[in-house]
Amino acid sequence: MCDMCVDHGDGMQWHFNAANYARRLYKIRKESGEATGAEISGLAGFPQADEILELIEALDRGDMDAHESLLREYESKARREMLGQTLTIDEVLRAVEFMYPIARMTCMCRKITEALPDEENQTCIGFGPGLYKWERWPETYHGGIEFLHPDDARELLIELNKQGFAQIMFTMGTPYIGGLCSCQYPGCLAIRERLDYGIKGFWKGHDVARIDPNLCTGCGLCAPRCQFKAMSFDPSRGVAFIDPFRCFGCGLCVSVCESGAITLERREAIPTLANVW
Amino acid sequence: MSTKKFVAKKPRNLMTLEEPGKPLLYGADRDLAAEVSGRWNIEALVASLQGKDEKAARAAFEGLGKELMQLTIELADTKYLDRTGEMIERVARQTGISFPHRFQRYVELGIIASRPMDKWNIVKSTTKEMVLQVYGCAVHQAIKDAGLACEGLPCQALCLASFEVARQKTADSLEIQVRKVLTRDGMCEFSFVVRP
Repeated sequence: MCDMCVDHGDGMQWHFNAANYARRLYKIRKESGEATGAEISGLAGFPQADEILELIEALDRGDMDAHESLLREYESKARREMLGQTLTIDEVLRAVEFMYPIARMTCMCRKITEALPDEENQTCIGFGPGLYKWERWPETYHGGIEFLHPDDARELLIELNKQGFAQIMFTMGTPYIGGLCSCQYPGCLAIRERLDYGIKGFWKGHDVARIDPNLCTGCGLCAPRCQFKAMSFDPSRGVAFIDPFRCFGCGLCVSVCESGAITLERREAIPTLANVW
Repeated sequence: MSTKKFVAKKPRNLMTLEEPGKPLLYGADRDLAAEVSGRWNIEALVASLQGKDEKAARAAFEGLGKELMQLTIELADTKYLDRTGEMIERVARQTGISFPHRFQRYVELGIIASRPMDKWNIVKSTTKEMVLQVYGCAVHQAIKDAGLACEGLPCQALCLASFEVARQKTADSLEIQVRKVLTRDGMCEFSFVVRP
């Protein structure tokens, strides 16, 4: 169990606790009017460019205390506002039963990092009562929004997984869960910040991929699907290799392993990894 | 280096911004609360129940619950219609799923409009079940303050009758249950489960 499960799981994994998906539809309207746009942007929970620059500068001048302090500060902010965790496709499909309404929308990360047009970039899933107010975020929803029946959402998520997107569930004001991103490095800001700068805006999942080299046929299908730099290919032995300390447990490698060499194991069952989130 | 392009079916029901930048009203209108809560007086109701038995109290609360929810629905869908309500209806038509939010909307507005100072929360809201907790209730407090017997919580008839009016309006097939009660558990908890 990770800390999120301990604090918000009610005995389960936190993303299977229906309470974390529930929210009131209404408050009494503020006399001052309702906030819109960038001031309530979902990405406000991520460290912004100036904060990352501060981190790099601390590293550059060798001030490791400041660097550590900034990392703790950003993680603390993420835990309060917008914390993610990698999920397997099976976990994702099970979690869909707690989500409503569900809508497909533009991925803001790839819009920012790659300027992808909306029609090639509708990979994010938002859900919950906040979506009825989607027009409050015109920048985010410039490409529109498509509300989905839960069965259609499952179909889309399976398709994204097949295409090699790792799925990360995010809180929107912890513990309320409001977003399910389908992510690839380097377009995803959250993965980029975690892998390139060590900022824990999202955590590793509850599983870890392990490989049996005796069963690996060396087909090479798995390694390019890894979005977390955990997989490599050993050319001398002709088999794939997984670094368990880098594995985020998304399962993308497992789903293409036809020989059954790769399996997922529970993180808490492996003592050296049980607290590596 | 860039990520792969996503190849997907074209959206079938894409909603786009109708008037970008136009301020829309999402919250519950203060005037809705003023108008509905102005139609009844909790202290007067409780005073009228002095000396009556629990059955009579329940009947009075039931009648009031129906009346208040009918008024709330009428006003919330016309004079005080908000963008959240409009979008809930549009999404329900698009997905074919009514529950929980069409029903939840009326339940929430019913509480906000008639007892705006109550403390309550929605702790579960899926397409199969909704759970409402009320842990600071003006009606219960008024009964207690007036020294009326409230162990049996006759005031629950008000909530249950109002929920039934909302259920009839949305035509959801629901089993409505009281799972916890204020006098014993410190809160009233109502569950609304979709009948199979």
